[in-house]
Amino acid sequence: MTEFPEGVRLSIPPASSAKGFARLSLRIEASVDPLSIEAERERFGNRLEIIEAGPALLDEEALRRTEGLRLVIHVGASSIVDALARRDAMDGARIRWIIHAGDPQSMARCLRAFARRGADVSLGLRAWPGLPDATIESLLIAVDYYLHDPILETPIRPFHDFLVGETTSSRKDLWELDDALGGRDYFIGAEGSVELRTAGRSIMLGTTDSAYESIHAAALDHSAKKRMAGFISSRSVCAFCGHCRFCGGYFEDGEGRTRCEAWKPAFAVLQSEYARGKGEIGMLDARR
Amino acid sequence: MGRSDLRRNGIVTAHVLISRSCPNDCIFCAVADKRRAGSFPKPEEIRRFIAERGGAGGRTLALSGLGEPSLDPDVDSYIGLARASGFEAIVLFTNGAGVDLVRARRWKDEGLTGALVSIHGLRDGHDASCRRRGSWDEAMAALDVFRDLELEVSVNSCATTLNLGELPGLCELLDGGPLVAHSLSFPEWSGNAAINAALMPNYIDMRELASLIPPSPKRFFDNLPPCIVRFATVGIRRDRTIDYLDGGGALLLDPSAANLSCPHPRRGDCAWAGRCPGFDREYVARRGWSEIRALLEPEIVEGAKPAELGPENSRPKGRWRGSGSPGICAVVKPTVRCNARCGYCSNAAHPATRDMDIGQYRRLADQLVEMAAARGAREATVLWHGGEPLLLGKEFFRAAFAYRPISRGAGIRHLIQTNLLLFDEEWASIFSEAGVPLSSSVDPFDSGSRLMPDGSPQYPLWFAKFGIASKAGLRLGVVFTATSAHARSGAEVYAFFSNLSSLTIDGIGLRVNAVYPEGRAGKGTFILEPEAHLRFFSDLAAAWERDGRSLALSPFTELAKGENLPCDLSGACWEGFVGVDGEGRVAACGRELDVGAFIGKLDGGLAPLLTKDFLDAPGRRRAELLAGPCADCEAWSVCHGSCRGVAASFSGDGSHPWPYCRTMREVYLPLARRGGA
Repeated sequence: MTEFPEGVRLSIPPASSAKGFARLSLRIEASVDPLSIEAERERFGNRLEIIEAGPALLDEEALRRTEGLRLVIHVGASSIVDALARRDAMDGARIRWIIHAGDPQSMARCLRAFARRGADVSLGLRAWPGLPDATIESLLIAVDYYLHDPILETPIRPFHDFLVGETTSSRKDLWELDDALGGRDYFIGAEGSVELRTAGRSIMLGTTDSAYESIHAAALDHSAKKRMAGFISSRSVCAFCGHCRFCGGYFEDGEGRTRCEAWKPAFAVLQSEYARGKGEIGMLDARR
Repeated sequence: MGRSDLRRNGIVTAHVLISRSCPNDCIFCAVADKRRAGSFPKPEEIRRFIAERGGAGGRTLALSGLGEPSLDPDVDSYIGLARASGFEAIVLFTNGAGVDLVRARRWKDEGLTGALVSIHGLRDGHDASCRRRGSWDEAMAALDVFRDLELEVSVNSCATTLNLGELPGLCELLDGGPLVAHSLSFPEWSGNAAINAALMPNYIDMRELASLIPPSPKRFFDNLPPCIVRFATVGIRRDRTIDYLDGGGALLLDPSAANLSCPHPRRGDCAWAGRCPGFDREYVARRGWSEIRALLEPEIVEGAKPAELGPENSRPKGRWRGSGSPGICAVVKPTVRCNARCGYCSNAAHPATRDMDIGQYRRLADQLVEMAAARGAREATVLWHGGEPLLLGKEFFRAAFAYRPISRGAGIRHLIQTNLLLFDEEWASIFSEAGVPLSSSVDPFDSGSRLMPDGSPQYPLWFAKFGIASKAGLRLGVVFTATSAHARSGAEVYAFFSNLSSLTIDGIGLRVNAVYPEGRAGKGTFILEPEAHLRFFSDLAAAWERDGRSLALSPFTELAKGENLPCDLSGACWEGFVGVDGEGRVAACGRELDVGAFIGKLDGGLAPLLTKDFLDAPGRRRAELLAGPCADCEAWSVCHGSCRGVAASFSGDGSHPWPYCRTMREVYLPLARRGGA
């Protein structure tokens, strides 16, 4: 059995994107010494693809140790100044910034600061230790900024993904966007248990004694269509929600309870914007 | 890559996809996904590609597009660079949007030698397929410009169900002027074609089309096997790999890898073996092989030679509704028996009957095709209804689907309305082989409307059966009947069925009705009061609009399109429908059957029953309504006083409209006025 240091989480992308050996991402929480990255690289070899951490990771030494890996950095209002300073010092590094800012002012400040630097920005869907959940007000400010800021050029996720999904045939739900980010949040317990954790629930998938492939197979049981079929079969609250095709029940806890109150108004704004835009295009065509 | 490499690998044509935008939004556009995703080659990549391929011995450069190539701001420089790099032929693909005489002359001066103009039918069919009015006029004007400049001009026409009827006429039009080649393409089922699958032709349509195309040595079909169309067809040139640049970078396309090879057991004997374009991979994945196998047997091409249409003159790689004649639809209720006990069943009022036998059905089918042919229609429709029609058993339907009477080109098309409760894989196979789409009613809410005989909800069993039908790839329509229990659930109803649709390959079509007081519904508390009806349909329409109208939702889709209103809103239903029950009794439609309003029996023939007096009945009702309760009603155009039978169920006779006038004025009429389906 592989031993994992406390607080390290192992992310495993879906099998479709991990033929052969699984690619992994390590989630490094504050209690973990960033220097342990090197040991984990040695342990996992070229399977290790992504490091997910707070901005404290971003020093020269840590960067040297993570060279060749993709970085996902979680930022809250209290760490934004520190994060920006480090970011400016490392222009060119391949980093996705996940913004967690509970109050509207902090959210607006964080978004502008990162987006105007052309950074790869996403809003935090999953809880991150010590960082706040989004609120309705903060997400409405964020979506308004994404839709209407005249000089914004960088996409803000997941809003951008929502509109891309509406306008193309390749719709991805929030789970699949997690996959695209590097993997769902698979938590490796102290005894090697593998657990899928999302904003709403926890699903036991097996143990690290199992081959990685069998963990993938279990993970695939949660494919978008199967999840939707489950909601529709059981007629859960998500089956009757107009945002479920994008959300995929990401915030549902398996017992019919949801934690999407903050996100639904933002999704509704995006959906209206899409419908309005589509309508305008239709009218334009009709006038030609 | 050196010159010798190019020659050795047989690369003589280089395709580069330029331009990022297109004013058209063709329903079959295979690169729409790439355009939306913003995956474009950069100008410097394009220049490098042109220079390298020209220098390495490429003979022909095709300037194709992820958008409209003539609108690329750098198109002039690309043409000049191509000539300077050594290309002998430089061909611009265009829909005509950015073409005028001045620009075209400049392109010719820079080195342009030819153009491939996309013309997809005559004006109506082309504009509908390209979803932009005026696009046909632009394409034809561009054709004239290129002809005037004596460039080598080819035309490509992609077949859709919206232009099939016009393509023979287009051929005659094009034959009036010089043309290098005219290719008629079967759509590549990707991009927009995959999204608009219902509007794409099938292989049967293509065979019918080919039989109407005037032969010409310059005309070819493309992207389908010659045995399907029995016409000159573009073959795969394995010795001509296409060198290709799009937003994903440069790559070599193997044309033979795009499609699936022939399933015919004697395909090795075919003269086209190794050259046949094969069958579209995505099409087969969705629709299976049965339709194709029926066309193939026993065809084998034994001597025909593939057309030598070069890739520079062709694009690198539903249902025809015929002439639009109304035809005839028979709502056939072969049994009144049912294995469910729905709370709102209207059929519960139908007088008891014997079940229909197969001989009786065959006599009906014979009469239907005669009637369709007499009306100049391509087909008569049999809508199997009930009761629960599957109670007649699998052998009955195997025999019914196998009986295919044809009269003067008119045949039978089947539809079936079933509660799915008896459905299984064997039923799926029967319907799949016969190409019969299914329609089924469901209520996912616990409203007490759709129940099993023991009073439990049908939904869990229904959803399991729906899964079988969906897995079998059957085309599915779903009917939802709103009752008073759903008055506040319009948005949830839309969301549910939109989510359900996402589970299927082709999506579902949804029809939403309001229950009317007939049969058991007349005794319960199901009926929507006018205010509740307004609220429900208003919420439903708002949800549909918010979702960008992505679900095919009847009657809203028809209202927005401004055509083919469903029978209950059209005001002209009697001419196109009859209802027939198990004993051969005939009524104006299924609803009229339910209330026993028979006009005769099938034994004496259908046609004598449809007397002038009978067919004039809707006209008389229209006159009465317009002189009375519907006078000056602005919503008349979307309602026509509603279904006579439904109105009668509310008021006791059909001389009044139904009670939902506010919904018509405040929801249906604005939707029709906004249009833009």
